[in-house]
Amino acid sequence: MTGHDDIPKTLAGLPNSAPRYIGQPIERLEDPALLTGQTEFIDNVVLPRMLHCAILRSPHAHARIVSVDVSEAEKLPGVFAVITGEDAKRWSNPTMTVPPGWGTHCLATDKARFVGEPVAGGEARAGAVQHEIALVPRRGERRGRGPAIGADRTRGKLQPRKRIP
Amino acid sequence: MSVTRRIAMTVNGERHEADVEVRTTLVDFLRGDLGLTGTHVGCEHGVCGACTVLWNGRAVRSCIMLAVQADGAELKTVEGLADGATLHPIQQAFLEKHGLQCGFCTPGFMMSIYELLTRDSAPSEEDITDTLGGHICRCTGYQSIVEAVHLAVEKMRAT
Repeated sequence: MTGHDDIPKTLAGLPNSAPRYIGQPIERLEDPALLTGQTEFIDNVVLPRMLHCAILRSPHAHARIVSVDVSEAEKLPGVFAVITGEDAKRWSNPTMTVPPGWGTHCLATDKARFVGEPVAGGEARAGAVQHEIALVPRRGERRGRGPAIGADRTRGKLQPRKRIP
Repeated sequence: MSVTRRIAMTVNGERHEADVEVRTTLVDFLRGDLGLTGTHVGCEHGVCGACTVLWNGRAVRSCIMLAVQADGAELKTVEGLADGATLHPIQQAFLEKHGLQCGFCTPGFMMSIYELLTRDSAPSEEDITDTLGGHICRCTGYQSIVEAVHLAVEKMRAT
């Protein structure tokens, strides 16, 4: 390429063949690394003083969060911090949406709105500790008012959940 | 709280000994302790097949196995497939048949296919799809992977 002079200006000037690519199998340069397990994925990255974060997710489709007790989680060895929706509210803005005003925080605040919505996060030094952190705050969570349906694990089927006054 | 145990195993022909917490999963041990990050963690509950490794020649999901269960075992991971710079016929077939795109699920697929082809050098179409059915690929699509298996069968027969 010598510059703009090479760019076709008319239909007739467009190339009708490109022997370098069209009709040729293109060798993927990334394949050998992927096939031998040498490619680095984000989960492989290890940085100095890196913490692991465990997320506690809502087991309920629609539930008011009355309280989250993180005191026991914070006491676990290796735990750096445990954060909840209250912290998220203090330290961050809701996500931007169009139309504006529909955004939520990265952790549920006041109410969980779907099964699996992040409710609390625990940051710990060792990956193994995170399973314990994830379990502890759940004790402080109260099932809220008005979920339409929820999974009843004891009966193994979906059924209406009783309202809790 | 944390109970540890000393375990020893052979991975890709190399002997390893380590003290592990008994609750450590095999995949966390392989990736975290041994640094063999070619084995991937997808669903973490035995559904997607990305973490498949060979345990005494059998394809197992290392995310739902504990490291202590591999004590004394002989393991093979994706890092142990190629012979130096020469790709294993299964890897070569994946490359030639476009059996991968992002490559995240690929190591798991190849380990299951490895088990299948070691057990049966001429698997039926049904056996192949049955084996691939234990793996989730969300970008390549399965047809080119099936073709890669057929090509791998040919390549392995030729060698």
